[in-house]
Amino acid sequence: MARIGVFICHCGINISSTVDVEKVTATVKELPDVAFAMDYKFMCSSPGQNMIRNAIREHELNRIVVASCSPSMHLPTFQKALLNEQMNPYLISMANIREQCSWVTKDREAATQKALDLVTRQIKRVSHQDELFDIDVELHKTALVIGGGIAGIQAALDIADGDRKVILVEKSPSLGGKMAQLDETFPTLDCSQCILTPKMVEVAQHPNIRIMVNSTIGKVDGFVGNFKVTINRKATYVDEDKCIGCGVCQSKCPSEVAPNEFNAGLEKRPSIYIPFPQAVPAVPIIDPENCLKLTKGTCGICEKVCPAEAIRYDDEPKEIEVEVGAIIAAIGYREMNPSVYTEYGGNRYPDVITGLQFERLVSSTGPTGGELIRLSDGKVPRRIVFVKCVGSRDEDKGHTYCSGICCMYTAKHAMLYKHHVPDGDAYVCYIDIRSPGKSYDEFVRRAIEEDDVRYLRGRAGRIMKLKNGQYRVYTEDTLIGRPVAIDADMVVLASAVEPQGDAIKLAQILGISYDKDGFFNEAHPKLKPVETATAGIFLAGACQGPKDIPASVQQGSAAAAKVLSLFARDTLKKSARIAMVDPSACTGCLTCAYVCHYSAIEEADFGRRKVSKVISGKCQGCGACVATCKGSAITLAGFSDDELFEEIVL
Amino acid sequence: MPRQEILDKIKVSEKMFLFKPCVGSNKYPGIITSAEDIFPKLDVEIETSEDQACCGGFLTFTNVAQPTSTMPAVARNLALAEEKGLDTITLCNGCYTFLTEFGHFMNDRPPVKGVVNVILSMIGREFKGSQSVYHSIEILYKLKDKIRERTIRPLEGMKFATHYGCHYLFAFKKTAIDDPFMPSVIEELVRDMGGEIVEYPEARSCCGTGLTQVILHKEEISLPHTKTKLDSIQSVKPDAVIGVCPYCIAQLDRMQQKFNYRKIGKYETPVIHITQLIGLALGIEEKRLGFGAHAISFDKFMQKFHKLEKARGEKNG
Repeated sequence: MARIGVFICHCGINISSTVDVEKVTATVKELPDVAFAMDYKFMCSSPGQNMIRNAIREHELNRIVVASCSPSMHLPTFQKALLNEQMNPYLISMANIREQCSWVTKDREAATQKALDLVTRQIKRVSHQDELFDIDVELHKTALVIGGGIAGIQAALDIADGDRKVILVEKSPSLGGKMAQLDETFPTLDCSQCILTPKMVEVAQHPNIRIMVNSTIGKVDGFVGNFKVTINRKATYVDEDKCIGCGVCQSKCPSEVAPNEFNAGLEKRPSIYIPFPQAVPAVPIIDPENCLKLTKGTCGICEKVCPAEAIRYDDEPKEIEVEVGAIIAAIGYREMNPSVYTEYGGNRYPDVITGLQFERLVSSTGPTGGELIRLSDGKVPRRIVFVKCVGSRDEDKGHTYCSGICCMYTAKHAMLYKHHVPDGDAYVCYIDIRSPGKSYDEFVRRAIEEDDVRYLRGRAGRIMKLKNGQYRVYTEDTLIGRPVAIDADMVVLASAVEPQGDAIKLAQILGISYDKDGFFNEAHPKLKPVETATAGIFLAGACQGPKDIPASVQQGSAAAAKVLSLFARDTLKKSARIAMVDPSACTGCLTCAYVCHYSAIEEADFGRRKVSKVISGKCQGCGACVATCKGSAITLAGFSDDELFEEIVL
Repeated sequence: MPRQEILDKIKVSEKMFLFKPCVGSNKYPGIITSAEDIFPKLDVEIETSEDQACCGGFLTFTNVAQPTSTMPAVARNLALAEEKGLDTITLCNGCYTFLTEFGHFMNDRPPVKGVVNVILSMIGREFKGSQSVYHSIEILYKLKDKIRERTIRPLEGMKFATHYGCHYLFAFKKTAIDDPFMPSVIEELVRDMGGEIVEYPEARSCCGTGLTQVILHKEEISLPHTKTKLDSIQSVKPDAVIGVCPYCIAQLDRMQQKFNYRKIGKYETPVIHITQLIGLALGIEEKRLGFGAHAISFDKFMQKFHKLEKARGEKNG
């Protein structure tokens, strides 16, 4: 005989302003099997939970219904109250009368009726619920970090320092990411590489970190604690164990045709190359599309000059399988190509460059050795215009979002320019100045007040190439309400931050969600900023949204902390809501194994015939097999036909 | 760079309806006569209609009519081509804008279309919205191979500047055949006919006639704009400016005369429509090109053209 307790939450006024909770309480009290019903302002608060516990004791309740928010919000909270009263935590059911009722209507009467419906259905359902018991699963205490930029480096170091193993996978030939390409960093103007390279070296030397560069993720199977990951390592044609990183090969390579990725395409690089002097690992890679040996069978110079005999023209891509317990996606961002901005020249003007190209142009490791000159004629630009929001906050040609970092880096660029050319003119065309961060606004003020950078509030409409080689930037000064034209020697476009080209593909491999722009979605925008909706997969850095270095480092550490707390346990509790096969009803057709996304169904012997069997550690309780089984031989615990029918049929 | 996906949608038929622009009729008849002559030479038969009225743009611009009452005028014009079962070619950015925009407006809003058709029924016509409207530059660009092949008086040695006009490229940012900031369709056509293109910095600027400022508003807004544009054109010394909109052509042509008259400069660059230039290259009778109607004399231009042609003729024996 079920003795059901019903607890109806006001959620402050979130529910009670639209739903007549007192009426719902009074009505459900009269339903059969309901032994107790009450409503309260905040059922999730500790007094609220105590009320549930007291009622369980006083009224000898054996089933509980809570009508409040979504179970994904507070089911664990209420299950804890049951556990504290030695009740099985699966004897509770929640009716969502907030997101699915009070929030979506203003009609009080209809909302009250719907709330009553929803609660009644759960009351009918809960009597059919049985005690279920969670499953213990072993876990692999190794983490996989995807992306070797600053976010991934930070995450890998923190986990490794916590004495857990880390596999750090990087797509390009070296760790470092975007931060390695930067010259100086805001708001302190300290050298980017000087603070980054020690961390890169630390990663390389850490006994707990295994670095896999030139590698991408091919396939991910399994679940939290037990992921099976296939890593695709592309052919590099260089034996990394033999290579001593001397760089002779790249200095002798005759095929300098491909754009130098590290220098943002400002110059060409050889076809065998170490991306930059401080690269980790300092092992070159051959670009097979441009190598003369690999494309035409000629040349072969690098093999001849290599003192370590490390060149392997017959190298092939490899697939490496690893088992990990947690994954951190930290693949960063890419700078938008402003070619669609034909009003700004659409990449056709040599001295109209992007922010990242400017970074390389002023960097001492850049193509000019840190000399700030025009790429078209080698002259020092006497006047330079910085155009912000190119591709950001622009529904028409770019993205709707704010890229977040451009206001700060543009102030920095303008400052760097004034430091290189003190008597030059620097103009910034801006829509707004967004500089919320510690010492950020002061930094922008410093650019304006100390370095005499001229800020013009207005969006540049057009850049026109003049006959004298200058560029006329048409903009406006909305503060004085006038159109302005500036004849500049160089223009720097603060091009938008956008997701990596392969971000969506990776999201699909990982089974995590992404937003309309392709940034990975966090599990909760405020409360779960580093988790994804998939257990065991975490996010760090700009792949989740535009971010600067401090924020990327913070999120890298936060994700590492989440991984370490996961790895602090020896086993993981897994929900009891998994599928079960009734072998006597199973015909052994194994259609269920075919539809299972998680490879959680295997063949087993049942007497003299073969039947299917659920691997409890792998089953995620999605129910695909249940719906597929023609013989109704599979049941999902917690979702039996009885429970569902009681919920559906009023 | 022309947009292939838009070009693919443009259909060149054997017979098309030529919509005559007012500015062409009353200021530059050569634009219409050259168009009437060149399309048949490119295997497109042309039909016109004596019943055709103003596109409706003038009426809306000058606030003499609300769009609700201008709409039937547009619908009537479109119905003329529909009755013949033809797609329309417009020679003017304004005609193109009003015929396409109002045509789409009515097609997308059945109640408006219904009201318009009630009015049209009084004169025994109906607007169905079944035919397309194209800009002449779209059709000519599609015919560019034929233009190249059939050029008998090549423009070799002649230098041209181009002007597209805001109301085609900018107004139809997503549906025009070319990018508003970096277009090249006129340039390609001119090069195909042997001409040389000279680029000038203000190529993307408005001619200054925008919203008939000269007629209705203060000319001190409009004229400095035109002057900047003309100064930029003068600086690269083209033999002529090629436009696709009679309205822009009128502004760029006649304001030169005005500046000369007011002694605020000396301007002498002829401005012509692409159909006139193609007419010249395809060997249309010169008087049908109507250069005489232009405020800025074509004497120098034609002298140079004839001289180069003669020199080529002698060289080739």
